[in-house]
Amino acid sequence: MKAERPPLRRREGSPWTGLWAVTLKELADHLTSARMRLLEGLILLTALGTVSAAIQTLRTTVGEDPFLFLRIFTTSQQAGDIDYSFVLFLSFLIPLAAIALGFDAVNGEYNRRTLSRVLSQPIYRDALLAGKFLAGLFTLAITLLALWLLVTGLGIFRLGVIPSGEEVGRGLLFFIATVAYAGIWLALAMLFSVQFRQPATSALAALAVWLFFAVFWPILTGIVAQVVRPADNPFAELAQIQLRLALSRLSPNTLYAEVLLSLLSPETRALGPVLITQLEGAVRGALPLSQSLLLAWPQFTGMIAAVLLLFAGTYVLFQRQEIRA
Amino acid sequence: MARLLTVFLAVSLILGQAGIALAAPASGFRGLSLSTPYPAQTVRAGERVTLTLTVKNFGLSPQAVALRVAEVPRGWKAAILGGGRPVAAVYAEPDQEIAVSLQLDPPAGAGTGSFRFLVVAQGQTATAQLPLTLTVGQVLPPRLTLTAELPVLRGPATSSFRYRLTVKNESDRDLLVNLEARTQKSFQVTFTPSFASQQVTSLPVKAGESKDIDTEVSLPREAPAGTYDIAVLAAAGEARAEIKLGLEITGRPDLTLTTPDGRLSGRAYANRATPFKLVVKNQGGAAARDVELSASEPTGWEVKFDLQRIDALQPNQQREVTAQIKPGPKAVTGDYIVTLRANAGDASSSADIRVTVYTSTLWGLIGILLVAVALGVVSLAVSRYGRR
Repeated sequence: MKAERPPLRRREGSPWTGLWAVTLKELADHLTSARMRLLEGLILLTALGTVSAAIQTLRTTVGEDPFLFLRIFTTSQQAGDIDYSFVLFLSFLIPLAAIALGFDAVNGEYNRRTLSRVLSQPIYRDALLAGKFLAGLFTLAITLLALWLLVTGLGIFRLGVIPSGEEVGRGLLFFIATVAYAGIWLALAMLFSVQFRQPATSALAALAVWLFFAVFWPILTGIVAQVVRPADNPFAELAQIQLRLALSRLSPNTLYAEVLLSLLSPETRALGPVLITQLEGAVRGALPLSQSLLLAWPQFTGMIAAVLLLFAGTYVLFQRQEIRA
Repeated sequence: MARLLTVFLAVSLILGQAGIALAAPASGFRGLSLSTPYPAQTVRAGERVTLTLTVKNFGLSPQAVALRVAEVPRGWKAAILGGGRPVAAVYAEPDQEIAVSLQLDPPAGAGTGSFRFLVVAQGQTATAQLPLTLTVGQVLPPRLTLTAELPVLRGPATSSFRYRLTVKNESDRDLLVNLEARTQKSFQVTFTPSFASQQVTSLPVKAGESKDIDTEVSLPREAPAGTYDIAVLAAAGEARAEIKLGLEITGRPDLTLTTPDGRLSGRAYANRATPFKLVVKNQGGAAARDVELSASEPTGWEVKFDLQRIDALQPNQQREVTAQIKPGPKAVTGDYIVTLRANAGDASSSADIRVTVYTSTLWGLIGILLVAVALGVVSLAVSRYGRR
């Protein structure tokens, strides 16, 4: 006869209940908030500036290019000492926008003392968190989609060329990758908003992480790689480069940059060091879309997995919290 | 009777000539002389003969000398011309010579043989006789000849056929020789004088001289093997010479390496052999023997043929060969050029195949697995920590 074990605490009810209500409400809040308008205006201005400059450059310099529309995103211009392009601005502004949307998602509710009021409705906690996350993601996705369509339309209008199917496919994948990249920062900001009770603290923490990966991580990887694998012969040099690359791939910025390189420059054949013997007999040419995607697939899936894991962490943290304050 | 006369005339001719020959340098000779440089000549049938006669007065008083052609064969017409007009006499000052020309017109149907003439110069005190003999030739003497150093050449259609021809002018006049070649329509024949660079169709050849002409024949590449004739004709007025040149084209294998549908690109996965079908064709005029297939591939790649060597490939025959191309394990995704070659001694062909290396989708599955694990973690967390 088996001993009667205490039953596992099983959840009751579906976690989806109330999810869409929260999502739609939050979405409406985001889309009408002054914060979001400010960010949208910023993104729009920089996008229009960089894209018109890129189109101007393309019209004067490029004779024929099978991937003209992708060049709109990647062509860089000189402004003073810095080179800038659309994707460069985007990779700077996306984390800022995502952090701005997520840093007070949960602790803001605490501070306004609205959390227990919301949860007294037939809404689960998981639905609240997931709904807030999805709303942030949708907001970013809507903005980015509008931006992408705007840029493409501007390209058609100014260049007089219609994007090919492959260009549209690459553009869509670029859009998805950008949403995933934004999702990482959104999930991170929400993690901090669960962890810290003060919105200022969580915002600062998220910005610190962003700054760390954007500025200090490249320096750190270089130093660490040099210390761990000193380059005294060519093989050690290669090992050092590979270690540095592996370390830098821990940063979402590197992952996103590599995905963009692979998707928006079809000539890219490898991400990382290539030996000269591997290029013997190689001829220049663009990779098909499937191969470009396969090249960046680890980075791509890595970003999506990072979003999911960060969300899972936030979820666990939130569920274990005492919220009846 | 006629025979006796001939002998007599011949003797008198010799005596007459000897007399003049002996008399001319003699200082004490007084009298008239009648001479011509070539009193016995061979001439062509039907041709008017013009001889230059010289009358000289050796120490006699100035006098008129009557000239007449005493003996003329039947049918022949003789006329003595001086200053463009027929003359019957010349006036000879002492120790002076006067030149007249003697025009002899043969009759229309004159046969061959020897014809004798006798010209007499009759002065007041002296007389001179000049017997002449014209032999009318039996055949037409050749005026132009055309010879070839090497009249028959042999080689593949792609080689150059160059004949050295010599055209000789065997007449007494300068000639402008026209050159002409008769042969296959697709052959091109050009004439170049030796040691010159310009091509010519005609060239002047001085009397008695010869000129070398380089004759080059260029053929179309696909000219079938066989023997061909080329007739080269040199013509100057009615004088013409012809020579037959022989040209023997030996067949030569001509290989082409391609794919059955002509497509020279394909995909291959890194470190995995992919078959590429190839076709080796012989489009030449002779069989190709020992056709060897080879490849120049990037380092680390492997190219294997199911048929390394084809023993013989007849003209217009083709063979299918499969090449297993295996990109190296470290090949980077994208396009590479692999050169495949078919070689049979003098004939060879190569094909550049653009191989697009694809990455195995195994890594893609691993990425999806990673996402699935992350999703599993989320759902585990949801089922474990889900609460109101």
